[in-house]
Amino acid sequence: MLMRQQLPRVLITAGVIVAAALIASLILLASGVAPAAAVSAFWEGTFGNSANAGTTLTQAVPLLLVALGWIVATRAGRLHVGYPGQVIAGGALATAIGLHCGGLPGPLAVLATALAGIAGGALWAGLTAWLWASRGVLEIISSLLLNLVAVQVAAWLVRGPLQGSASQDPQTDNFPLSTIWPSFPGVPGQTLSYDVVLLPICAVIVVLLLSRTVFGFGLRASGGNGEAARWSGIDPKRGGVAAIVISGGFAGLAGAALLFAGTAPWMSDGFEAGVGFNGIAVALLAGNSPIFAILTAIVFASLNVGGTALQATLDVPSSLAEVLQGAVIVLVLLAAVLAGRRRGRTPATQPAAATKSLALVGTEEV
Amino acid sequence: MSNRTDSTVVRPPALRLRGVTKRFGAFTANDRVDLDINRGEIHALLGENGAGKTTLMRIVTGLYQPDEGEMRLDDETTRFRKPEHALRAGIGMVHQHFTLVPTLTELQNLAMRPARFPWRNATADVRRRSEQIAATTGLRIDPDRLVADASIGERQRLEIVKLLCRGARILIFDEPSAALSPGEWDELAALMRKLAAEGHAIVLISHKLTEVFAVADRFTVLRAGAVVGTGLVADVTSDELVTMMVGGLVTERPARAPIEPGPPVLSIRGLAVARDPLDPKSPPALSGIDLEVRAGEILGIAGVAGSGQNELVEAVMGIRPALSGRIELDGEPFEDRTPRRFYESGGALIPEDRHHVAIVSGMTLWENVTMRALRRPPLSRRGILNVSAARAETRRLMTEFDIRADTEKTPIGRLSGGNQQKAVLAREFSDHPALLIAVQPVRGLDVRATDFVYRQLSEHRARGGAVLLISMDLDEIIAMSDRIAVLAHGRITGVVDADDATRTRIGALMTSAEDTPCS
Ligand SMILES: Nc1ncnc2c1ncn2[C@@H]1O[C@H](COP(=O)(O)OP(=O)(O)OP(=O)(O)O)[C@@H](O)[C@H]1O
Ligand SMILES: [Mg+2]
Repeated sequence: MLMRQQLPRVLITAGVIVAAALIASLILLASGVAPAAAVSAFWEGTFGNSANAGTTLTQAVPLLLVALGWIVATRAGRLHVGYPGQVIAGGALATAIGLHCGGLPGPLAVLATALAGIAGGALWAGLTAWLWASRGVLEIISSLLLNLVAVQVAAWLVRGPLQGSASQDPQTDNFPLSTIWPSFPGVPGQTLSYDVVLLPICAVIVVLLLSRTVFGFGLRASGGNGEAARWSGIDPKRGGVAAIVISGGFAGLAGAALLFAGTAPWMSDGFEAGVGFNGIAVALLAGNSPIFAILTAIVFASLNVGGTALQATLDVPSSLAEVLQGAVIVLVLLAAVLAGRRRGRTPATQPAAATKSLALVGTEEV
Repeated sequence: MSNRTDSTVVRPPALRLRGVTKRFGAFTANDRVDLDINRGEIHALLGENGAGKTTLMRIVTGLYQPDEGEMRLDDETTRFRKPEHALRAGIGMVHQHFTLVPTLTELQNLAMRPARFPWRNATADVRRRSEQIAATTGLRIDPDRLVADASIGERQRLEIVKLLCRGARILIFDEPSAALSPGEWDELAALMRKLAAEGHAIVLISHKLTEVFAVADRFTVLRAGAVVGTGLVADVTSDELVTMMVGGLVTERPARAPIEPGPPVLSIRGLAVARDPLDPKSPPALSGIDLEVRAGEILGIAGVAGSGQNELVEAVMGIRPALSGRIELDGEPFEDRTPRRFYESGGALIPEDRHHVAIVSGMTLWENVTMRALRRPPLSRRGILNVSAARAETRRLMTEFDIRADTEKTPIGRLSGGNQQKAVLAREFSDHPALLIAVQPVRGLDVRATDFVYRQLSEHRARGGAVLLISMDLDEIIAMSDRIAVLAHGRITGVVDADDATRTRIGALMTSAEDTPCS
C-alpha cells in the first residue's frame, strides 16, 4: 500500500535525476569534457572520500531545514517565499549574538547561536505573518519584498555595525571558537558537522508535528479548506501565522547552520548562496514529504559540491552547478505539472483542486 | 437487461451504453452497465448512496474513462477524453457540486467557456442567450450579481442556464432538487418536460421518488454499480422501486410521541444582521428576529432560499457579526460568538454547503469525522492525537451511520455525495449536542439514509435535545417540526404549531412580507 503510493514519486525523482544527467552531459560535451571523466570527478568530489562526503552531508542540512519550513507553511496553505530573507535574518542575528558569546562554554554558545538563528528567522517571518493576518497582504508578495530588504540589511550589517576590525573586507570578525558548531573528529578536515543529526531529527519532528498533534491537525485542516476549518472552530489565521513563523524559524536555523557549521567562520553578505530558494525546490522534488526531503536535500547538496569539484578538477565552467540546479528545478516543476494533470483526470470530486497552486501538487498526506 | 418496451421508436437512442465498467483500484463503481437514453424522454437514474450513479454520468460526460464497455451517441461509438468533448457533442451535466467561480458575476460565469474566437468578448452574446432562455423557459438569472452572493438554489439555476447556453441536447441532472424549494422544483419539472418535448434527452438522478413519478418516463436502478432493473415509470410502484434500490422496504417511522418541551436551549431576541458583513450600513439580511428553541423540540424554519437562513446560521455560529440582538445558548448568554464557543456551549451544525464549510476533501474520512472530537480528550491529550482511537471511533460511526467507504483512511472527497453527508451527520450527532442546527440535513441522501436521519432527529428530540431544522422542503418541515417559524425577506412572519400547519397556511406566510420588504 505504502509502496504503491510512494512509487510515482520515486519514479518522478528518478526521471528528474536522469533528465538532469542528460542535460549535464550535453553541457559537458559542449564544453569539451568527457562525461565519463566528469562522472568520476563528480563522484570523487561528492562522496568519493569521507571528507567530501562530510561536506556534502553538512551542506544538505540548511537545504533540508528550509524545505521543512516550506512543507509546514504549505500544509497550512501559506505559500510564502521568504526563505532567503529568513535565512539571512537568522544568520545575521546568530552572528550578532555569537560574536558576543566567546566567553560562554561551548555547548551553551552553540545553543545560543542556534536559538538566535531560529529567533531571527521567525521574527523576520513574523513581519510577513503579521502583514497577512492583520492587513490582508498576500504572504507571497510581502515575503518576496522582504527578501530584498534582508539582502540590503545584511549588506549594511557587514559594512557597518558587524564589520570586522581585522580588514576592510565586508565581513565580520571570525566567530569565537566556542560558538563554532562541533564536527566529527574522525572525518579528515572536520567537514562533517554534528548538525547532520538535524537531518533525521527535524524531518521526524515535522512528520510528527503534522500527523500526531492537535496543532498540526489544525494546520492541515486550515490548509485543506480554511472555511471548513473556521466553521469547525479552528482559527485558520492563527494556524497560518504559526505556520509562517515556524517556517521562518526553520529557515533561520538554516542560516545559523550555514555560518556556524559552514566553511568560513565569519559572515559575509553572500552567505545565503541560494539556499532559500533551493530549499523550496528540495521540498517540491520530495513531493512535500519531510522524510523524502532528506534524500532530495542530499541530492541538491551533491549537485552543489560536485559542481565545485568539477570546476576544480576539470575546469568546467563554475556555472555548471547552477545550470544543473536550475534544470532540476524546471524539471521538478514540469514533473509536478505532469503528475497534477494525471491526477486531475481521475478524482474530479473537487474540480477546484486542479487549479490549486502548482506548488501543492504532489503534496503528501502524512 | 434493458427491455425495449418502446418498440415504436425507430430512431436509435440518443445515448446507448453497453457493458460500461469503472473500477477505482479494487473497487468496482460501475459493473457492466447497459443503459439507453432516448430523445424526448426523461430517464430517472436511481440507486442508493454510492450505487455508482454519479460515476456513470461522469463517464458519459468525459470526466472519467471507462475501463470496459462502449458508448454510442446517435449510433456512433464515441469516447470523450475531456468534458469539453462531451459538451461539444451536446452532453451537459449539472453536477452535485457546482462548478462555478464564486468571485465572478453570473454573466461572467456563463461567458467562461472554450470560445471559437478566443479574442471575442462573449459577454454580450451570452447575455442575449441567457435572456432568450429566460424568455422561453422562465429560468431567470441575475447577470451582474457575484456568484458568491447567490444562494445555492440560485447557483444551481445558473448551472442549468450555463448548459442551455452551450446548446446541450442531452442534459444530466445530478440530484437537482436537493437545493430547490418546492416552487422552484415545480418550475424545474416543467422546464424538463418542455425540454424533453423539444427533443432533448434528460437524465435525472434523484433520491426523491415523488419527483421521479412526477416527471420521469423511464427509470433505471443501479445497485452496487450494476443495473438491477429498468422499465417504464408508469409500470412500477414506489415500493417496487425502493425494493430494487435497497433490497427491501423501509419500515414506517413510528409516530412521534408528544413531548412537553423543556426550558429554552436557544433563544434569540431582536437579532439583526447586515447583508454585507463588512458594512453595517448595508441593507439588513435579518431584522428583528425573535426565536426560541426549547429542549425536546424541533423548531422548523420554513422559507424560500435566500430569505436569510444562511445569515441566521452564521450569526448564531459567530461566523457573521450581528448588528444587534441577544442570543442565549443552553441557558447562558452567548456573547462574543465564535464557532469554537458555539460548539463548546453545546451546539452542533449540519450546514447547507457541505463542500465549502463542512468537509476538508483532501483529508481522510477519519480526520473529517473526528474533526472536533480529535481536539479534546479522549481522542487527544495534551495536544497529542490518539490516532488509533480516533480511527476506531470512526469505524464505529461508519457502521452506525452506514458510511460506505473502503476504509476510514479514504480521502473523504472520494466518497459518494450521500456518504459524505453521512460522515458530517456522524460527526455532529456523535457530539451529543444540546442544540443541533440542521440545514437541509437529508440533502443528497437515499431513502434509507433519509429515514435514518429523521429517526436520529426524533431520537435527539426524545432525549431532550433541541433541533433548529432549516429546510426549503415544506413537507420535511411539516413532517418533522413541533413548531414552524416562517422566514421571509429576513423577518419571521409567523410561528405556527405543527398541528395547525398546512402548506397553504405556511405558503401564505412565506409570501406575506413581500408587500413590506424590509429596507
Ligand atoms: N475518484 C474516486 N476514487 C475512489 N472511489 C471513488 C471515486 N469516485 C467514486 N468512488 C466510489 O464509487 C462509489 C460510487 O460513487 P458515486 O459517487 O457514483 O455514487 P452515487 O450513486 O452518485 O451516490 P450518491 O447518491 O451518494 O451521490 C462510491 O463508493 C465512491 O466511494
Ligand atoms: Mg452522486
